[in-house]
Amino acid sequence: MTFLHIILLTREFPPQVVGGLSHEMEKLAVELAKLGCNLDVVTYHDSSAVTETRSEGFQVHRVTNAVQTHLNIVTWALALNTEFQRVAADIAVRSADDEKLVHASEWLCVPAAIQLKKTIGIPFVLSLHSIESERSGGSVGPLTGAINYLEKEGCLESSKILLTRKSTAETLQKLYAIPNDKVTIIDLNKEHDILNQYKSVLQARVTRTELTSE
Amino acid sequence: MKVALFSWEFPPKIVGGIARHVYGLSRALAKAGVETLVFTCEFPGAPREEKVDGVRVFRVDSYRAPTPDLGTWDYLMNQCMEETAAEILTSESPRVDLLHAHEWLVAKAAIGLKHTLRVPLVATIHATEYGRRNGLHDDNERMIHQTEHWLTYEAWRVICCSHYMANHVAWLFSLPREKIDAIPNGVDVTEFVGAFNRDSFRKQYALPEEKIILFVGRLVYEKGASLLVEAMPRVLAKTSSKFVFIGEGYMKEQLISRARQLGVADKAYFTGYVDEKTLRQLYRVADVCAFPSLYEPFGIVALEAMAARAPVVVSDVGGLSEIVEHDKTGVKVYHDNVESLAWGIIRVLTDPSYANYLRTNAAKAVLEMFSWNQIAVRTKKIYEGVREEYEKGTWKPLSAT
Repeated sequence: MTFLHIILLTREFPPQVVGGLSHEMEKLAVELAKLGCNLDVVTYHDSSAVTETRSEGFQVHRVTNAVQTHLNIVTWALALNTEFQRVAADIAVRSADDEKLVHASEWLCVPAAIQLKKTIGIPFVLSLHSIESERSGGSVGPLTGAINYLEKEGCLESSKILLTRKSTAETLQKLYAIPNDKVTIIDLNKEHDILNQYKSVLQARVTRTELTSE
Repeated sequence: MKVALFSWEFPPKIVGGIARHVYGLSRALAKAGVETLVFTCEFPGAPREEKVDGVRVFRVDSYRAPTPDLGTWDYLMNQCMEETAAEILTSESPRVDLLHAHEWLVAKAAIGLKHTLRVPLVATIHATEYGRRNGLHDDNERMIHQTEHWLTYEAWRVICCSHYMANHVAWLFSLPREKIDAIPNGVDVTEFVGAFNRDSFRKQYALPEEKIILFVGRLVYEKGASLLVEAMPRVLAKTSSKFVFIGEGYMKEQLISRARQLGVADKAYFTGYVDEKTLRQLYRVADVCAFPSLYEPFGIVALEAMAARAPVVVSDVGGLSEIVEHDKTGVKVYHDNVESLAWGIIRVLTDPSYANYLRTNAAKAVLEMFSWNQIAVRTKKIYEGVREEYEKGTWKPLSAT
C-alpha cells in the first residue's frame, strides 16, 4: 500500500514568524496530518537547526542557511533552498515507497521544488499568497526581475498553482501567460480541498503514465 | 567512470585561469578513459552542446533574468546550471558517478546536485577570496568566502594546486588537512613548439646584444615587479640586458617612474597585455624569466616559462617554491630581497652552460610532473578513492535504496 506523503516547504513556520504565513502553514500541517497524510515540513530557522516530531503526527525539519552573509533576499533564498533540497532528498529516500508531492510555499521555495522535480521526479504544487508584482508596486528593478523570474519558473514547472485571490490569478495570467486551468483558487481554511488538489495532481500523473505506457 | 565537471568558464569563454585548467584537465581525463561532461556558461557563437576532444560540453543559458550584481547573477546562474545538468544527468544511463566543482562560482549547483542525485562531490579551490583581497572587507567578499567554505565543507575531497594553497585552505576554512589533496596545475608543452622567426620577433623587444629578462604578471604589489625594477641597476652593472614587463596593474605608473629615478628607464619595456601567441614566443626568446612574487598560490607563469625552455628565477614563496627545485630546474631567491633576486638573474645570465642545464632539467620536470596526462591520472585516482568510500557507505540515490 502506498501512502500520500507531503513535503511542505515553507520559509517560515513557528517559532519563526515573519508574517501571517507561518501560522497558516502550521494550521495546514496540523489539519493535513489529521486527514491522514504523511507529512514533513521543511523550513528555516537561524538558531535551532533541528528536527522536531510534533504530537499531531508530523515532523518539522529546520535548516539554517549555509551561507550567513548575503547580498539580498535572492542569494539568501537560493542558498537556503539547497539546504531544503538536502533535507527533502533525505526524506524521499527514507520514504521510498510513498507517493510523494512537494508543496512549495511562495517563490522563496521554488528553487528547491524545481530541482526535486527534475532530479528525483517529485511533482510540486505552488501556493502563492501574493506575487512580486503586487508587492513591489510594479517595480522594474533588477532584484524584482530576479524574483519575477523565479516566481514564473515556479508557475511553469509546478503541476498546480494554489491562490487565495482571483485577482492574483488574473495578474499571473497577464504577466506569465499561465493557463487558467493550472490555477485553483482555494480557501486556506479548507484543508480538505487542498488535500484533494494534491490527490488530483498525483492522479493526473498516474493517468499520464498509463497513457504513455499504453 | 562518468564524471561531471562544473566551471563557469570554459573556452572560448576565458576570464581567468579556471577555463584553461578545466580545458586541460577535462580533455586529459577523457583521454584517460573517464567519461567526462563539462557544464559551463554560454558564450556568444559557441554551441550549446559540443564534443571537444572526447569531452561533452554543455553551455547553460546564464542570463535568464536581470540581476543587480555579480553575486546575485552567479547564484541565479547556478540555479539554471543545476536545472540543465539535472535534466541531462537524470536522462542518461549509466548515471554520473561523481561531480567535480571548480571554485565557489558553481558551488550552489554542484552542492544541490550532490544532495538530490546523492553522488559524491569533489571541489577544486584555485584561490580564495581572502587571499585575493588580502582579508574580507565587505558583504560581497564575505558572501563569496562563506560560499567557498560551504563548498569545501560539502566536498568529499578538496583539491588545491599546491601544498601552500592546501595549508591555506585548511587554515582558512578549519578543514581537516587530510581532506585536501595537492595536485599542481598543468601545462601543455605542445603550445610552446613550432617554427617562428626568432630574430625578427626578438628585435621588437631588445637589441641583439641585450639579454631579455622577462616578467609576466599583474603589475600589483604581490607579484613583486617593484623588486625587479629595484634589481635592474645591479643586473645592468654586470650584463647588457632589457627588462620586459608583460601585464597591467595599478602599479604600472609607479614602476615606470621608479625606473626613471634609477636611470634605467631605457632598459625597461612595459608592454601591457599581449596576446597568447606573442606571450608564448616571448617565453621562448627570453634569456631568463623572473617571478619575484611576494604571494603566489601557484605560479602558472613559471610553469609556462619552464615548458618554453626558459630558465626561471623565482622567489621562494607559495606555489613557486613547489614548482621549482633550486639549482636543478631553476633558481630560488630569497623572498622580498632585491640583492638575492639580482644575484639569481646574474647567475643565469653569466653562465650559459648553467642556464642550459636548468632549461633541460625544467623541460623534463614539466613532462614528468606537470603534464595534463599526469594530472589527470592523479585526479582519476582521487575520484576512484572517493567512489570506493562511497560504495562502502549507506548514502545512496533514491533509485538504489
